[in-house]
Amino acid sequence: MKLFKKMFKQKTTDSISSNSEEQQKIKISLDQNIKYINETLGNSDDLVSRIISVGQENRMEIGIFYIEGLVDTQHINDFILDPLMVRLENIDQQNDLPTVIQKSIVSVAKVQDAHHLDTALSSLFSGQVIILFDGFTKGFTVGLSGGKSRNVTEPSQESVIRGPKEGFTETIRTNTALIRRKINSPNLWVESMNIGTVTETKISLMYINGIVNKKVLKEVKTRLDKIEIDGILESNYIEELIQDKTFSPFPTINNTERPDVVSASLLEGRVAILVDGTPFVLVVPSLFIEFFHAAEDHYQRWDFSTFIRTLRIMSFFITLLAPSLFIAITTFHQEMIPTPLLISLAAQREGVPFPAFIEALMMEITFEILREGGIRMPKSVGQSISIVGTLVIGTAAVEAGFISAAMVIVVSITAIASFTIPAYNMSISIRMIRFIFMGLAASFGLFGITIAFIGLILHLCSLRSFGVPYMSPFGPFNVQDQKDSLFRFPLWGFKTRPRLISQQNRKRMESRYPKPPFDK
Amino acid sequence: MEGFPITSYKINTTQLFVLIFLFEVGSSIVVGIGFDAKQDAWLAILLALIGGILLFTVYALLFYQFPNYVLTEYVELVFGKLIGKLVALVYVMYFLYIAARVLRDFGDLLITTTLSQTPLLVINLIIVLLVMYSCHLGIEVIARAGNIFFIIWIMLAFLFFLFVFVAQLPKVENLQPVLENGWMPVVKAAFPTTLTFPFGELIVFTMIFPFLNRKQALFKTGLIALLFSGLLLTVTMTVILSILGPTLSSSTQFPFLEAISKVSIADIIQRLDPIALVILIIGIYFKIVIFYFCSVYGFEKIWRLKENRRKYLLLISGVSILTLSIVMAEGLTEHLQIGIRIVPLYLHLPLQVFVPILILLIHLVKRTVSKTIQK
Repeated sequence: MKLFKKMFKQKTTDSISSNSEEQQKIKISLDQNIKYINETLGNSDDLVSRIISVGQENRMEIGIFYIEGLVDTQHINDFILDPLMVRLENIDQQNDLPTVIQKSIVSVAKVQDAHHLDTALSSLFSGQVIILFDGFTKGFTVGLSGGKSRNVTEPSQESVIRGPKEGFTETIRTNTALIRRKINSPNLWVESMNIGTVTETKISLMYINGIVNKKVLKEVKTRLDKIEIDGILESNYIEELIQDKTFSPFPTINNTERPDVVSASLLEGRVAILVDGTPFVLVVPSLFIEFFHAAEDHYQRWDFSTFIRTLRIMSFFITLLAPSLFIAITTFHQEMIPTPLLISLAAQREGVPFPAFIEALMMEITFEILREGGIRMPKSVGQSISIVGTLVIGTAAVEAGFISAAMVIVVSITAIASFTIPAYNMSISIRMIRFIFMGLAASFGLFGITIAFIGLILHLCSLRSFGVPYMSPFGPFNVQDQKDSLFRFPLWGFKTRPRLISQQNRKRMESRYPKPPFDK
Repeated sequence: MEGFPITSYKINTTQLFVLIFLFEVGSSIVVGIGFDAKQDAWLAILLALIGGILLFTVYALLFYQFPNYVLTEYVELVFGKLIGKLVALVYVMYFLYIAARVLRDFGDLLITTTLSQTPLLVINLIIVLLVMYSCHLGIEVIARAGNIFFIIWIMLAFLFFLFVFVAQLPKVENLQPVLENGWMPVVKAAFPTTLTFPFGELIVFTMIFPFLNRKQALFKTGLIALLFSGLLLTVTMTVILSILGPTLSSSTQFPFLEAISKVSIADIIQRLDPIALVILIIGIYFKIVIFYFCSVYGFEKIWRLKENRRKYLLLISGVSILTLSIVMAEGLTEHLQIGIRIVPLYLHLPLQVFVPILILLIHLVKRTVSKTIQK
């Protein structure tokens, strides 16, 4: 226990932040400023500093700084260099030249005053251009961020047959815009902050004012404020630092790549957390059953969606229980198997040297290895793994006398069932827990499985996602919210928002059961 | 990261309903109740149910007199400090003992049915570990899990009835003749055995009632739960009786398993006792966990321990319940004999019926006396 504490509570005197010096003011001499900038950035190669001089008699030097690749060079030429060098040609020395330039020369929308070099420098990295003047302690930054970024493409994780085909990108501004295009309301609010003392990653909270659960919003903010880390590279950094419980295999924060899913969540009163640099947006609070919902459930007819959801829940149980049930029944409860099947099973197992548990364990682990190999390897060698895979989990393994044919079927159905769960993180947790179930099934049969299942349900019931019980609307049971959990009722039945998610403004629609107009 | 501070644990009326239901049907469905009355078992259960409702009324009245106190606290208020603490201690021990008894019942059941090679200690240890974990999570989590298991339980019970009737097992002749030997055997089967087990065991819920969020709904909720579980038990026992016949039902140890093992539909759906086992494990788990939780909670209240000390208490009582369940009887026969001869008369009857009525009477007398003095 002490070792454990030691591992996690290392005390270091170093501060995580990289620079704790005082703010450097912009100096009057341009040369000094250039020198400071170059020193601070360590003469970095991608910093472009361009010095131009304007005016007829008293030529004045103007320095323009930007990071190559983060800004749109064409725009700098058109809207900064061109007006400065052409239009200022005839202007005489004035007392307040920077203000004149800012107000009437630079034809760019986003221009901000700068008095401190350090703040100006940090804006340099978010794609701004710094303009400094010789002889003035004042400069300004111009927002011309551009450069290369990935286009909006179809999401790779959550594909749909019917529904919008756009997915988030790595650029946070694009992502917020994608959501704004779906929700055209002034009540859609965005709050931003920078987290990460070195990376200064931009994090945005999005929610609909008036619908959002204020308690959850406040909780999210306080938890985000507590984060002190050097860098945030993916939204999982945030997820792990703000989740309710670390020691649980289950995710309590959902993530999605789809703007429509985020918009639907916002409309239910949730909070979306966008992180710059990743297309995966976090949605809180999230409930257990929501990890089995796909975006398409709302884009197909309700009866079909309900059927598909039921199928997914079945797949959940198959993934979790199929191998362990097989082990339990073949080892402890043979009497449950119909006699002809029992005979054929026994005949298959005749040459197999291992007990059912070892057999299942071997096959399941093999399959996990295959799956991991399939994800990590280069795409060009994909063919080979599928060939090897079919040999390993297939007739060859049976013919070699390693495993029985029935086990192949069980392992395959488990694998396929695990793919039907839409949320990848949920499917991982179930795959892990499956092994505990298998162990208990091998030692205690159905009793062991039931005990493990009770334990699992208890654990799930003890979880909370930002104060909302994870297993609602089943435990605590709520009749109204059954409309969109296990079942998917027709849309006209969605009269209220989920009870525990949005606690204010619960009414959602007025529309009644649709009827043809002539039908009285 | 910690969640919201949970200021007070509360359960809602649905959860109370579910807990009472699972508790009532939990182990009584395994061992069978009222079979002493032979083919009139259903009458005996109905009679006992009426008695059970009366008892529940007493418990509810007690709760309405002391809405913020649990049983072990208000015995102190009524009987005075010394005697009150003693009575409270007796109750806590009683809950612990019953939990151990149910545990033993269950361990024996598993050994005789499926896990003949596994030692009793190991089986009981696993359940005790699970129960300790649940109590560590608290009554709120247990109640939430109850919500989910209620759904599963009802679905499985539905399957039981479906299979039994599809296989055309129940025979009406097994229920006839009604009242062959008059009312006496029925009344004898109902009082005290069936009254005290399972209906009288509701006394343990006097430790849980104060958790309810809507206090005025207690009586209605409890009554509906009691009626529902009582009627379901009646129906189940009648079905079992009509399958097995009066002689076999009263002689076999676990009639429910016996009945379901007779199911055979088209030679494919057959030998379903492991599925019945799942129903039983769920029910028995809830029975043990409620007794165990109330016992631990009672200890806490008697010695006014803080909640962060609960883990030590859980450990101690967990070990003691495990030991108790092993050493309480030499074998299954002795265990069952104690259960039939001694426990209902010397434990259940006084603690479930007499003491609560006494508490209520003394309290009412005290109140009237103090009121007249004030006037």
